[in-house]
Amino acid sequence: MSSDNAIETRGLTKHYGKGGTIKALTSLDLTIARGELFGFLGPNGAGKSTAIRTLLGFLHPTSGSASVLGLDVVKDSVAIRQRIGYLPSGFAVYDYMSGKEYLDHMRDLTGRPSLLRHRIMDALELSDAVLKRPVRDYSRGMRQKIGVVQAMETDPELLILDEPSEGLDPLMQRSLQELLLERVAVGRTVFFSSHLISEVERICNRVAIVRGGKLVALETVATLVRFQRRHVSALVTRKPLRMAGISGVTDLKIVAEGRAFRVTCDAEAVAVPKLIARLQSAGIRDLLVEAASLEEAFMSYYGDAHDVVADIPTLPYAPATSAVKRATKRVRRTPAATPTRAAKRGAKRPVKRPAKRASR
Amino acid sequence: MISRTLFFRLLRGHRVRLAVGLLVVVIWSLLFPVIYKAFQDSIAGKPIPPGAGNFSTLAGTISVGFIHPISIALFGILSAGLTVGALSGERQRGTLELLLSRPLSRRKILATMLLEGWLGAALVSFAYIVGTVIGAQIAGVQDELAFAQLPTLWLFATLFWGMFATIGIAASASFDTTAPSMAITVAFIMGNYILEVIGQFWDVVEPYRYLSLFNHFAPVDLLNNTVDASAALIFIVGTLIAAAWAFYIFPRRDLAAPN
Repeated sequence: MSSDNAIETRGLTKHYGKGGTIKALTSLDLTIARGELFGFLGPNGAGKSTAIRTLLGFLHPTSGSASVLGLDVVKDSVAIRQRIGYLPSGFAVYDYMSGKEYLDHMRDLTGRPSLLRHRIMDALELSDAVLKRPVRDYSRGMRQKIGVVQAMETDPELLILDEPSEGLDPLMQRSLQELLLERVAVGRTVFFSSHLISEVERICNRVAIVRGGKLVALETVATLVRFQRRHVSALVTRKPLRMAGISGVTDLKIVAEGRAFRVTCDAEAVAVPKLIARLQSAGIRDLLVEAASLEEAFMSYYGDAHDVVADIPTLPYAPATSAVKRATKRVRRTPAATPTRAAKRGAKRPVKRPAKRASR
Repeated sequence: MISRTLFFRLLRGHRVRLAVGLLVVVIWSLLFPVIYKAFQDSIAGKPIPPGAGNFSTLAGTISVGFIHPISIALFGILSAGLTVGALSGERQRGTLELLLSRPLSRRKILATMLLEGWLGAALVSFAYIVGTVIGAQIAGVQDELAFAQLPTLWLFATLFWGMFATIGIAASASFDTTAPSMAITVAFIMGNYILEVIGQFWDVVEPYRYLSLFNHFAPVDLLNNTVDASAALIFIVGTLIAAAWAFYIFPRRDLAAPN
């Protein structure tokens, strides 16, 4: 295990029940470099929280090994927890305390000063007056904000956040994302699980997708997206010929639309130039090529029968600094997506993606 | 060895229970010297009626008070009651995960929670003795009270109820919810108590009374300066067995937020 990595797991396995019948996590191999903003994706029950809880020493691994900040998760658990910030999923608090008392208490237990409390409070629109109120009076979102503050305020080397956007409105989700990017920009590492794919796509350098306790993809977001199919929709003046013969084109449909023809299909990235050339020969009046999204990459692992990582070629990992800059730009440009909107999206079609459009 | 921050947070969380409980214990315990005086006045110049039992002496009356069911409930709430939900309660509420995410070893967390239970045992025993002294003053029987034996009584009472507090934390460390840990601890205390009480009246059970931990806690003997050191040894061994289990099982358990 290298001390250069923030997190490293080798064959990490956690099975529950008598005889290990419940396989919550199976042979997880993961390496997260320091300074990365790493997304951990998977639906409920996929094994995300089990992996996180094993890294933190709450659960004992059935087999395999793991290190956090170069320290063994079993032997050096207390030393690890000295250097990390953690936000659990379904964050719970001591109801008899005020927000400030709670934060002070958690800070004192950590034994480090709160360097960032006011910065985070400003970003999440938490006032001192709110912190004086008893936590039992807080809404779900307010509690989550308190959870974010307690995890981040001591400026830990590694942030482990389990569903940090839970309960936050889209504006606060955006503020949280900017906070995370800020921490990564100053050399901190962020490892967070989410089922909000848009959030992961917007800010993460790399992403791991887990399914049924197994790692099914571990790549940069760009790579995952690059190898996804494009959706093509074109309006042409004449019926295009020899379309079905193009390799990498599927779900081809040609429908008459008035005096023109509507052509729709899915195409692999390499097939798109040839496809456009054929369409051009039929007289393009309107063309829409939708880029793939991480959501589609995700759904391809959950919708299709993929079980292993093998489908995606491994590309060199981009340095954190440039990735952070790109991600920062993406956050500033892209409108927020709420969980509700994300949930309403179809399994195969994203609602809104940057599209390359040509028209005559 | 312990976390001061956690210790004071635990005390803060139980402050109302402790304050009210200790006040009730003082009031309850001061009744017994008063009852004793009233009883003495009612039989003045007459032979002691059969069945008067321990009410014939102040030490006996105080001893009856110590093992009265209401006293058992008060002592239990303020000692084992503090520990029985300490870990399983945090687990059930979902706050244990965040506590465990701090740089505290599980043994340190356990030791801190156990210390709170022992503090509760010490305080409730002290409150009981304070109430007894006040009651003796009110009733005017302070001359009959063996003041020199009160520290020993306090020590034994603390050991006795501290042992149950340790059993409480051992149960708490073993379960994910408060109900089973509470049920086991209460059943253990009640089982011992019932064995001792029934053994006094039923010849069949009488030979087994020594198996009850309550049988070894005899305030009347302590007040009469006939201290049985083996009783203290029994309480210490009971404590060590429960603590050994708690310190063994808690670090080995898989713990996280409630499912």
